[in-house]
Amino acid sequence: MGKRGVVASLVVAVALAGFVVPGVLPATEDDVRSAVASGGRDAGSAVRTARLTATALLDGRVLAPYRSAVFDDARERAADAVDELFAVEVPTDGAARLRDRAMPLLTEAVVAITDTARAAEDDDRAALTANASRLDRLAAGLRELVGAVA
Amino acid sequence: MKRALAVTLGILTAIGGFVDIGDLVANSETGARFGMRLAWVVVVGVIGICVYAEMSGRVAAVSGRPVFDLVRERLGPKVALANLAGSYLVTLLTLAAEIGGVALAIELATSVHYLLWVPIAAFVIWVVLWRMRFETMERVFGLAGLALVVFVVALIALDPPWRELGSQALGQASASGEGWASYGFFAVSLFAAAMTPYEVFFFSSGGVEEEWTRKDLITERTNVFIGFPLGGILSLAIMACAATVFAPLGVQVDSIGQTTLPVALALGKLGLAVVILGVFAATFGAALETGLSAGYTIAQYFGWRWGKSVAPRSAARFHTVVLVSLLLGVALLLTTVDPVTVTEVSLVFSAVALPLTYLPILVVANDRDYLGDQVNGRLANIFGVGYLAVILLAAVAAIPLMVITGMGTS
Amino acid sequence: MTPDPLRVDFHLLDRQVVDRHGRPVGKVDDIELHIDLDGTATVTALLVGQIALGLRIDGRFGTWLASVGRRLHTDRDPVPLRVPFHHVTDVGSAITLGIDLELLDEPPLERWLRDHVIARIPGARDARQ
Repeated sequence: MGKRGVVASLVVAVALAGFVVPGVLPATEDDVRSAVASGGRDAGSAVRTARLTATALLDGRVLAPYRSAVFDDARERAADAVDELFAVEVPTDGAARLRDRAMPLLTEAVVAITDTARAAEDDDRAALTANASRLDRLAAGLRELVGAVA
Repeated sequence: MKRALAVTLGILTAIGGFVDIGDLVANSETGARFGMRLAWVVVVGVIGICVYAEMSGRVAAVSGRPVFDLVRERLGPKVALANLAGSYLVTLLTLAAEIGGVALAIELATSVHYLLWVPIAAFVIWVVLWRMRFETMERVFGLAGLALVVFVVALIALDPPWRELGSQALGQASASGEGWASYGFFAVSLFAAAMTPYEVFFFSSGGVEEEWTRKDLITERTNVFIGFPLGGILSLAIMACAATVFAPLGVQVDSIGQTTLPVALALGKLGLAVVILGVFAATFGAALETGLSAGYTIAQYFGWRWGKSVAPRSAARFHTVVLVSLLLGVALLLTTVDPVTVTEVSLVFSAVALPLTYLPILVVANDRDYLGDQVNGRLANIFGVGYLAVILLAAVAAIPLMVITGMGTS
Repeated sequence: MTPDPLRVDFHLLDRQVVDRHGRPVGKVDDIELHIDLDGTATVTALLVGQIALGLRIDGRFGTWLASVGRRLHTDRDPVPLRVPFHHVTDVGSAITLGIDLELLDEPPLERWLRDHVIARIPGARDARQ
């Protein structure tokens, strides 16, 4: 094997060790834990961004196209977090408990952001205010979740 | 009087042209996660780009040769070819990120999904490259990019805890609670955002195209030494806005909508309109620069005719490269990959490619054959060599940090 | 004005060649030497273009580059663009020729792309200073 061959096989070995092998190993409880943590962080970021946007809306500080673009981004980000948690393998009872604790919060995040966006669309201030406090409660819950697993 | 106006205009253009999608993304992400704890990297990066932009401008003005011409002369055809491949790919990735940024800015203004804007934005970018005069192009988008000053206004209106931000910046605040690897990863990204290689390709090629001579050196230096640091202040304002609004809530930034949200909160609809215009102009201008730079690198390696001062039919190979690069950028974005992710990746690979660009500049700037009495002085060399060490460090660390932190997500 | 002594690797190879108006012609991709009976070598011509570059780079990529260069030519047995050295008027940060670009053979890739792509787009004739 020439010098190039050695280099090429080294590159392949590193790629295998770094990317491929961790990807196909069976999931452990720690994997679920980190999926919950990162999902919680993402959903939390989305919820708080939506909350900030709602505040700005109530103060009349946001233009309509911008508002819907930002809500769309937040909703998609929270929905991605749900998807990822659904996709993760659950190997143990402990892992299942973790997932069951996180899942309602994450799905609620998606729903709450969607409802807030709709209230904004309908220009319904009462609904917007109600949803804003819902987002606040959710954000607190998600922070607690992330704190508990991290 | 006319001279003073030209200088002022040049400085303003440099400020507006400094910020691009990489700076927008990296600075707001970092501000949200680390407060102002990484502000020093922006300062280091701005001094670095000043040192090397001045050198490449001086080489262009005195020898009439742009950077990539010299890369091949100094490194020989084989090594320069590897360099060309690396530089071109990084420039292409950056071009895709900028086109994505333009499309995202239009989405914020229209709420129509950005993917629909990608082909339209790319077409308009191409038309501008095809039809508009070089100087007009630079002026229009540089000046419109000045709209990003609204981040400074917003920061003042937000009335942040200045003392807290200051102590974070000076390293006296408590730790951010983030690991050293993500700290390193974001430091490398910020550094690469300030020192993106296309900036010197564009800067030196622009100098050659505008036929700079020794007389223009003073103008060139004023633009660089005043314009870029002021542009760096815009970067810091973007970071500080995110540090004020997002960091206390623990919100991580991953969209341009979030980057601009602090301005809306502080200044309302008018501020929001101005910041969206600024993002649009900054990314559009940078898309023009990266599109041209993609053409410059290849044309200058092979010695083809290039530039906007000749009719396109006399520089067919150059214009074909520009056109194909734009199409490749569009194709990449239409895979629906997130433009913000493209930006993050482009910054990592920019960091890896930095030495390829900056080492030859340093070597040539010391060559009396090219520069005569305008070779680097002692100060320029101390800075140049010092920065080369930093650049090498960033280049070596970039990929390992990206893998360890999973693009900064952990 | 030519540096004395003229070093082929340092002053000639890989430098930009421009015509008498400063318009780029190409790079010095290779050179042609004439060696006298007494062993003194003189540069007789600069070779420009992908074929010359490809042969000089060698290796797989070089061979590919040269073969692409050959295929673009319409001649049966294509050769690189040959610029006789007596046209060179100055060897500096670029190599300046005393003649006009138009007097040299047009690079085939340039001609092909111009005829088939660029010239078909409206506005291809206008220079924008």
